[in-house]
Amino acid sequence: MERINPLAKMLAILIAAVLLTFNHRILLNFLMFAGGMILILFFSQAEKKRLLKLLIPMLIVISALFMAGYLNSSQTMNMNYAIGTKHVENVVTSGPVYTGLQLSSRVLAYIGIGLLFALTTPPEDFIMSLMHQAHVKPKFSYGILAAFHLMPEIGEELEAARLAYRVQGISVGRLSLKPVFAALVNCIRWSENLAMAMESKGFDGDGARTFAREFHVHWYDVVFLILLPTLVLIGMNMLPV
Amino acid sequence: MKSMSDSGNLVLEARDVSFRYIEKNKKEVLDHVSISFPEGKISVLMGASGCGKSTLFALLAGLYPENGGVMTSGEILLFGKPLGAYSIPQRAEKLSVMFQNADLQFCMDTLRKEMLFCLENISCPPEEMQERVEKAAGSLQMTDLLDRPFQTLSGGEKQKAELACLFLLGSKVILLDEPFANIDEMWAERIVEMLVRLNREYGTTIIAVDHSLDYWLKVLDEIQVLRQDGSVIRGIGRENLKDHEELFRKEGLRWPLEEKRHPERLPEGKARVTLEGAGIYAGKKRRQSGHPVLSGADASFYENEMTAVLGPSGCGKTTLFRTLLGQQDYTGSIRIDGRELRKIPGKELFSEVGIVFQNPSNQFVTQNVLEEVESGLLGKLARHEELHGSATEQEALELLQSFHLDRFRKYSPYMLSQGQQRRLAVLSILAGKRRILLLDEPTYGQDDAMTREIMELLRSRMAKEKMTILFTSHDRRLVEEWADRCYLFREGRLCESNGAD
Repeated sequence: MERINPLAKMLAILIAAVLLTFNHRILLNFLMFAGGMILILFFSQAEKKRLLKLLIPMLIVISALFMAGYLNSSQTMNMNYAIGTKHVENVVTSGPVYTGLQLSSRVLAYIGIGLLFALTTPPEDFIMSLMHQAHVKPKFSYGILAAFHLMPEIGEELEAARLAYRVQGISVGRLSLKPVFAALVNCIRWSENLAMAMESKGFDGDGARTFAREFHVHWYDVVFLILLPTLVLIGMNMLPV
Repeated sequence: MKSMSDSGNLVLEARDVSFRYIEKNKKEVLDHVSISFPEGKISVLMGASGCGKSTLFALLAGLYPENGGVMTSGEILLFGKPLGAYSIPQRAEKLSVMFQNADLQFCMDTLRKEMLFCLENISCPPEEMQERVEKAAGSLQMTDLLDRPFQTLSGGEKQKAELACLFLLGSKVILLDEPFANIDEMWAERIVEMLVRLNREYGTTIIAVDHSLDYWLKVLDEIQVLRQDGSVIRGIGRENLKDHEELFRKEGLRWPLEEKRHPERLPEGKARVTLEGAGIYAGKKRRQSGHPVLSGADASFYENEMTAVLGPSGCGKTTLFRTLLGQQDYTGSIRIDGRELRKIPGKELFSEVGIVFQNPSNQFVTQNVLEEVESGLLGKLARHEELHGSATEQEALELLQSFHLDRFRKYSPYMLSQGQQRRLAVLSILAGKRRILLLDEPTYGQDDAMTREIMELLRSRMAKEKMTILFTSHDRRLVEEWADRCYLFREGRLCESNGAD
């Protein structure tokens, strides 16, 4: 999965996600999730531990969502569905279970394809691909990269600012904005500093430059881009439930 | 006095430069300053805090006026051509800059990527890139650093990595802005070594701005002093340095040949903070990182004493301070006045222990310099009515005067320079009447005269109020001259040392 062009991957997944919003088939939702997981587990180098860490809280939320749908579904609707055709389907396609699954499986499908993108795309690659394929200016792309690498420090600064307030005897809550102000002032100063350092190393935001790693669109990127939305479309029309 | 400067070609020259930060300001930061640097030499530019040397530096590096300010007269010439005539990549091949803060120089996450980024900037053909990176890293013996994330490097390693980037760009002139301010001695010496190599083997011109000559004295070719009136004294070399003592004193610069003075000892006090078998872990939660900063450390910090805590950057000095403020878990025992630290409630602790952070702009709690000190005096952020109570205001003003900050009393703390911010931070902590002070690099960015004033004020306060002061510093001289006691971080312990080694 890592070999697929990040931008193509993102487009394919975005289109698939939009299509899924019009989908009512539970089975397709589950298939999307399963497909995403299979691709992550067997066709990528993503860390399994990280996947698990992300998945557990999400599954809890989803079960909560299922329960919400299950408990709040309207009974009259169910009566109509209950006179349905096949007996087996009745259990699933009718009643509160159906409503619950409708709600939760869709989120599950989003999670499946969302994680597929997030876990198999290094942010750096994504930004590089934006620059090469979508012609975003180097000024923005490298700026974002630099900011991205500064993130941990920003957190530390904020922590230090909070401590400063507490030491002065001023109580600050988790959401207090006062320390954020100090941290923001620092961030602005940093960004200036960093910009100057980049400039002094010859970085010219709009000028000509060469690239150590070029991102290209290969045949398999195009295949992926077409295949994923097509599969979703087919699923939406052909699957039973 | 002009003997040395005339030899050789000039690589970088400022002619009659005037500069102000804001168009409407009446006063120029630099008023018709001229300065020049000969090719292939190692030059050090010195000057008192606030004389404009940082501004001049930024102008020479081409950072200003592009990134702010107005140059009202004069021009900057790089190899005889105006700086503006070069495109940014062209300029980088001639001249590049190494900044104080090693953390804010990289836009990628490893040295290899950063080096590739540099090569991309100067449009190097992609096929050659990896080879050039390997070659540059190899000749500087830095191949093992190439793929380690920057986050895991020490400050010294980062500065060295930055230098490797500049070397890779092939810059003919390297400008350095207090490059050793954040790194420890061993690394500073290594970086000087590396600079000397670049200078001797590749003819690179080195121009450094520094407040201290400690690391430069053995290798420099020329010292230039920017005086407060904007004139430049040139041609000070190692041989004739002795003739210029008066100039150094008058400009408030640290005189490099001075005899060491030792702090006057105060009557011995009792131990206020004691560590017994204390273990401290990096990261917020204990054992999160697995790697202890300290394990089984013993130390005592006494009343009426200034104790210096030393160690390479990233060794955990700041973590120790955070622990003493009750912000980190620890194992073993840490006592303040005999009470176990973890049992002292936060409010009580904060009324006794104060801190000045490494980055002072983190700790301002008001939008006004005077209020900042007053809030320290009141011990809490006062309500507006109280603020103008004349007693506190008077006291705050006096304190500000003692640090030459009174004329900024209506400024926002964020508008002050680095050095002024640090002074303000020290002041507002002093105003809080706390008796245990933790100071992280209290004199960083100050010239010699200001350093003395800060340390003298701290010592006199300490004597008057029986304080216990802990400070960290990378400045060997400062520690030798002012600390009563020294602790060194070594392999997870705190070793007491007499400061000599």
